[in-house]
Amino acid sequence: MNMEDRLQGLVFSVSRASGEDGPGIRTTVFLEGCPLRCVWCHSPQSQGEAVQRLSFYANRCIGCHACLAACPTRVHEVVDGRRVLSWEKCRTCGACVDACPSGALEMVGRPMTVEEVVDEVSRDMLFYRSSGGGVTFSGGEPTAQPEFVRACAGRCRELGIHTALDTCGYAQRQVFEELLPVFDLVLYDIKHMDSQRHRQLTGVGNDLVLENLRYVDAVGVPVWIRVPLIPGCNDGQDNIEGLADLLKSLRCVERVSLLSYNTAAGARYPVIGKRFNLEVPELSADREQQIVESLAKTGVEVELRR
Amino acid sequence: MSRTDATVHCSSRVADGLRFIGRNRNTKRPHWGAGLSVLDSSTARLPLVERKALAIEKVLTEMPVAIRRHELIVGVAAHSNLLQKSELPEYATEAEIEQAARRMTAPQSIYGHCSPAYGTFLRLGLAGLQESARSKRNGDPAWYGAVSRAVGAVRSLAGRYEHLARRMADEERDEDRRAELLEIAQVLAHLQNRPPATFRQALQAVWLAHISFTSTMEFLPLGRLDQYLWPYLKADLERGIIAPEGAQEMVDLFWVKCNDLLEDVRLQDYSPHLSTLTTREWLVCDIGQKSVYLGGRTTPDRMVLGHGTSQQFLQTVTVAGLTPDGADGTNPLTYMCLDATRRLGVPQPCLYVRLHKQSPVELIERAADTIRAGCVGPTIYNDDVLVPAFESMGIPTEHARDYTSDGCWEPHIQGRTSYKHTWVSVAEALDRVMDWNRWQSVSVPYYRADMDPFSDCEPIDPYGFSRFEEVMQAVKDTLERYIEGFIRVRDQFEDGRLYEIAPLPLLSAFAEGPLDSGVDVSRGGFPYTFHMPELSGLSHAADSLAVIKKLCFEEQAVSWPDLVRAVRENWRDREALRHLVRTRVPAYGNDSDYADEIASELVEHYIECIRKYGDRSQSSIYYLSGIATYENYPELGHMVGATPDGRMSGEPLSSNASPSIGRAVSGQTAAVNSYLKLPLGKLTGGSILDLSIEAKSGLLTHLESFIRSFLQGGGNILSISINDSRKLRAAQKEPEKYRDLRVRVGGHDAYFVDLPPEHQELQIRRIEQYG
Repeated sequence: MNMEDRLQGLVFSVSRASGEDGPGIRTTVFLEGCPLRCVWCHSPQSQGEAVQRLSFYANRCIGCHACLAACPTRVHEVVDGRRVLSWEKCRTCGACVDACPSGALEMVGRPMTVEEVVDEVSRDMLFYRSSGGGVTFSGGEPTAQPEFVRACAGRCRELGIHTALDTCGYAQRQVFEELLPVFDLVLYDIKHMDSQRHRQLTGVGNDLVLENLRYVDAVGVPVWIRVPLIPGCNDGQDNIEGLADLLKSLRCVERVSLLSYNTAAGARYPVIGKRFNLEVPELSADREQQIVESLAKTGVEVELRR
Repeated sequence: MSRTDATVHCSSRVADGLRFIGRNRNTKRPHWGAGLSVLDSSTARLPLVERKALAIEKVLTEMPVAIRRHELIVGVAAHSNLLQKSELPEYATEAEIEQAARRMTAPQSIYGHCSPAYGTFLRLGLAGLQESARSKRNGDPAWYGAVSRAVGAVRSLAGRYEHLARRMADEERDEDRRAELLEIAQVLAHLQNRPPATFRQALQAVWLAHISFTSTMEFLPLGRLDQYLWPYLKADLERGIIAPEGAQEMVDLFWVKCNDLLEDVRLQDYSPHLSTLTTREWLVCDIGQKSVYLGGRTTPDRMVLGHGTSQQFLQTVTVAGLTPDGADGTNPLTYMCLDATRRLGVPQPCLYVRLHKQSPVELIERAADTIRAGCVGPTIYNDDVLVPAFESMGIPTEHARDYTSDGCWEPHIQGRTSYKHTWVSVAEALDRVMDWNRWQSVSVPYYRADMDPFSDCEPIDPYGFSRFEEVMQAVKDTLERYIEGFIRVRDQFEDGRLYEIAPLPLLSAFAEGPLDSGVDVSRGGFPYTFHMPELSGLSHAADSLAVIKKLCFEEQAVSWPDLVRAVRENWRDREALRHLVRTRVPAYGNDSDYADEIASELVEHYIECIRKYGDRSQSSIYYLSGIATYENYPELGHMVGATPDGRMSGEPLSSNASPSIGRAVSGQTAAVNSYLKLPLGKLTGGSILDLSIEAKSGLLTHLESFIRSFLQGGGNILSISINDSRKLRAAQKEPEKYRDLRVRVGGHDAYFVDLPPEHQELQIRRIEQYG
């Protein structure tokens, strides 16, 4: 085993038998850490630095209070018969997670070595071969752990596994320079074409995102553009037209996937002691169709994922 | 697909048929046939087999006949149900019944579960078959006479329907329908005297035979329908006497017919009926329907759990696969069968498709389309694993290649096999190790005293174990006792005792062999007698042993005596421990080698035991090995106490070779991988993995590839249900709105709203676990 195989990353889940993140039957490795704060984000546990975070699933709690005794910093308390967590006190030592018998407490972010990731990914080789599938590194934001992702994807590729990078595009150019050689496909998110609006919705402008996309396109790696279609945020015609213009200027885009808003997006917030504030109106079927048609005019294949 | 969608894609006649089925299912129908007898002073002295033939004759010549307005293929089985008492006219004397009961048999000891030799039947026709019985004299003339009478009764039934069709034609005002009724009459007239010459005649002939069996308590599968009917359709298409659309309509109408007997389960008042059964009747029910379980007895609530779903009548159809000479048998009729299932939205017949390395790409695509559209079928058979498994038992290759479903999912050789099964539960074996005394105090005696395999056993004291290997060995030894005991008892039943009280003169005419040998199928007339003591409870035993090994003996995180106590007390006040065992140790079905290796070790041991005690040199029976529960997993769990995997006492077991419900949390590919690690190639009777896929899953786009991976990986049988768990929840609340929703229940398809609540809950949990 070489040094690279022992390299560790923080993974928040490995999802097998996925049919959504690229061609064929795939395993998607979700990595911790993301520089964006999208208002519609459905995995808030991965926002910010790639660090471990405590999570608490109240529905699994059996009220045994083993965590109260285990925690050295008194994160867990019962106040007036109600279970209360002082999230800010948590030093993520994991003592309460070990003590919890019911899985109500979990540490998000499992340290995994490259070897462990590759071992799990390669278990579904039978399915990749028959379906043209493979592995997708997603998140969070996989470019937040570039060395680890590069090592994992490189090893998978050596084994003949198709590799895809699912990225928001917000990373230094150098990161893409290092990562692209080990990827067969890039799933590239475009959230908004207007930089200011992009900043309102995600916390950062889109200049770097678009610049990197042009770089990826220039390198010549196949790209699937992914657009989370959030009514009231980025479904306006101006944005769609802007997106269509962008598509026309690129040569390696094979497909555009419009991802419908995940109505369960708010579910994970209370689990990590956060609040979810977005209210999303419904998108009419007519408007959906209009959007699909506007984009399809560019000649790129458009799919709508509900 | 709902029925209203389906009507768009089928002829108006078929649509009428579907509407009829919908109404019929919702109508409480009287059960015909109670209180009849063929016993009188003139018949009393006849041999019993002749009286049985008289009983068959009485049913087929007296049961109600009806032709519905949409029908071209006609014939309605006398309404009967697995849960009802025998509707055969009384043919055995009290003394004979008493004597039989002492040997644990009864007139109701009819097994079903074997495919008739319909190919041979179609070549000979009813008259030819009867002539064959009349002309051959290799044995008892009374037996040949009985066989001839039974076949003659089917001819009479054809005559009754011919007569009815002509009478209805006389009264019919609509010109077109009158012409159709006369055509129906012509087909039936032809079938009384000659073998079928056309596809339509052949279909009608098979249906007549099928309802004759169903009406006389013999529930049988339809076998390789696309194989034995294709020569007729091919000739018709070549001669231009039927168009492909016309042929599809015939298949559709035949499919609709298979749903004749469906009845909304809420209309069936099981319990009062069940409570009137005497212990003796329970005993024979058990033998009759579920084969001999060490003389095991059952209780009414177990019976309802097991048979509350029995609306299937074992009507399976198997299509495609290798022909006896090794070619691929896929033909245009194969696709018509798949299309009928895909478009019509009815649960019957339950469809199986045989695939192998040379199967056409289109066949796999069409099978996947059918699964995607129809939610529950077809179930996939892998010829590349199942055929060699039969060959390994010494079955000649051309017979091995001619396997078909027995009515549940087990493969057996078409027209040549007496198929019986029972369960040996490794979860029960584990339960005995954990809590020996509980088994001694079970209120209903589980075994007849003289057949209890544990009667001479020293009680097991689990507290004495200090190593994991001792626990494992105790479970293996207990399982071995079950298997040894079962086979010892089972062999006794091959001494002709069934023939003495429940001979099968009609089925004997539809089997390969008996007419030449003169031997009734109830006493070994089939070339093969298969018996599968099926392994159940595998996932629970494997997961439990993984818990014991890891938490008690490796990590010592839980004390072994403490775990034993918690399990014996059904986890009372031990919620924390129960959660711990469920969350800290990976379960079978997650591609974790830790649990999977334990599962494989148990299966290897089971196979060894079947080989050891079911040695062919000692018995005429082929003892098969397989992992199975069918739809009976709630019933099978009913008697099993709490298990160390966190399962509560009495909770259902997992179905077939599937992971425990709620424990497969790593995706369907991981579940398949765990299953593929089992020694599947050595399982001569197969083992089915039941998977659920959420309707919105992206995996569905790749279903063809998924199936191909399963086949290449050496899986032998796969069932896939596609369902939306939210829809199932809604259906629980408002069943009226979801009457068409179908699910797979261990061995067959069923309407979700017709299932007992416990089954409904399991269906939902099975989908939700994959997240």
